[in-house]
Amino acid sequence: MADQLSNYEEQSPADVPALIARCLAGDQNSYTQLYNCFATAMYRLCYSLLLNRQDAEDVMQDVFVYAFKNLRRYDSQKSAFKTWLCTIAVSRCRNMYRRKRFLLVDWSQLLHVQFPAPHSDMPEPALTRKDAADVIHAALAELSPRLREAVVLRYGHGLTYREIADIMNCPPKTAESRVRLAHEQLRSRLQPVGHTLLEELWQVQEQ
Amino acid sequence: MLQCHYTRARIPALINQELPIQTRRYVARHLDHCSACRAEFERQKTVKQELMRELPHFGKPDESALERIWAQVQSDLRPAAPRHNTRLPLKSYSFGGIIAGLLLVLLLPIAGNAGTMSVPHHPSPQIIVLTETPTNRVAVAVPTLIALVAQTAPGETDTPTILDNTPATPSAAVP
Ligand SMILES: [Zn+2]
Repeated sequence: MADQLSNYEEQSPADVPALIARCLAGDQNSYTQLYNCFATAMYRLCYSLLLNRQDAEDVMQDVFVYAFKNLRRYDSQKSAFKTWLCTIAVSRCRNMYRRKRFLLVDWSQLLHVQFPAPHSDMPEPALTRKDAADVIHAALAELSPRLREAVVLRYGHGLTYREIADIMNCPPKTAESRVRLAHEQLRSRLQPVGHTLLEELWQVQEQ
Repeated sequence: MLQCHYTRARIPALINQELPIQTRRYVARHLDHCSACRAEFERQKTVKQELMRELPHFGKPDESALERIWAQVQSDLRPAAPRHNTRLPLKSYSFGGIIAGLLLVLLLPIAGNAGTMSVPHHPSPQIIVLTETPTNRVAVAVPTLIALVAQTAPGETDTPTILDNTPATPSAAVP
């Protein structure tokens, strides 16, 4: 991952408003730059909420098409560009899971969470991140959409409660309590199978 | 017991450093003395650390996916390009059902025996039956209807192409 600098390195360019101004002036290359800067973050967001690659791709395509068509409506005084994109993405994801309410949970994933074998003779440290991702996948899948949104925006994207509130269209206090509830639910849901697993993951990775 | 209850409710906020100083002191003092609450605190701290560490890596795309999406975004933005992508705007889905239903109701009397369209072994090709209808308006609508009927059949996973140009309406999108 760190071997070579990716085109899609997750980073906000120093001057997003200037980049947007160049886009609006018709500079095609600036659109590409803008996409490259935010594509990974938006994909992560969509995937974390939808838990399905194809859906994430569909929604993300829709998000960027909408954002670029409505670029003039973005007001840099009101919010960071990433926050604006997140707002569009969350509202599109909501449309998506409203429609696929009963298909959203990927049961095969849930039922086949891979547990690392802590007593195995052959430690496979490369597997631990994947195992952790499986645990996270299963845990997120069991959260209600609102709690999932809150916890993903908070911990996956490091946003403030104020920003999360803007994105989720709720008061900051509500955003805060959603993160708290997600926290408690993840703790109790991860606990029966996950707690010892998480501890083992810690130990493996700290070795 | 009451103290435990009070403390448990504030553990996430304590972990996220969101408690006012007096509350933090009170809760911390309780944690020092109550091993059950202390254990709960440690568990939740682990969950938070795990989330903070794993969520930023969760669902990272490979570059080919991002390139594929970019190509589609570009083709969607190209003004005059003919659009024939099969994946359709998400928001139009529910309208799709309604409009498909309306079209069906509208065309039912004209198409005559629309009910038989879903019978697989029906001998005569439906297009011929339908395009023989006299009115102009219907002649225009017929291919669409066929597409709709085909698409809204059991699977109902696709949205009809007819709605491709439905305006985007994400309610929360415009700050
Ligand atoms: Zn206690």
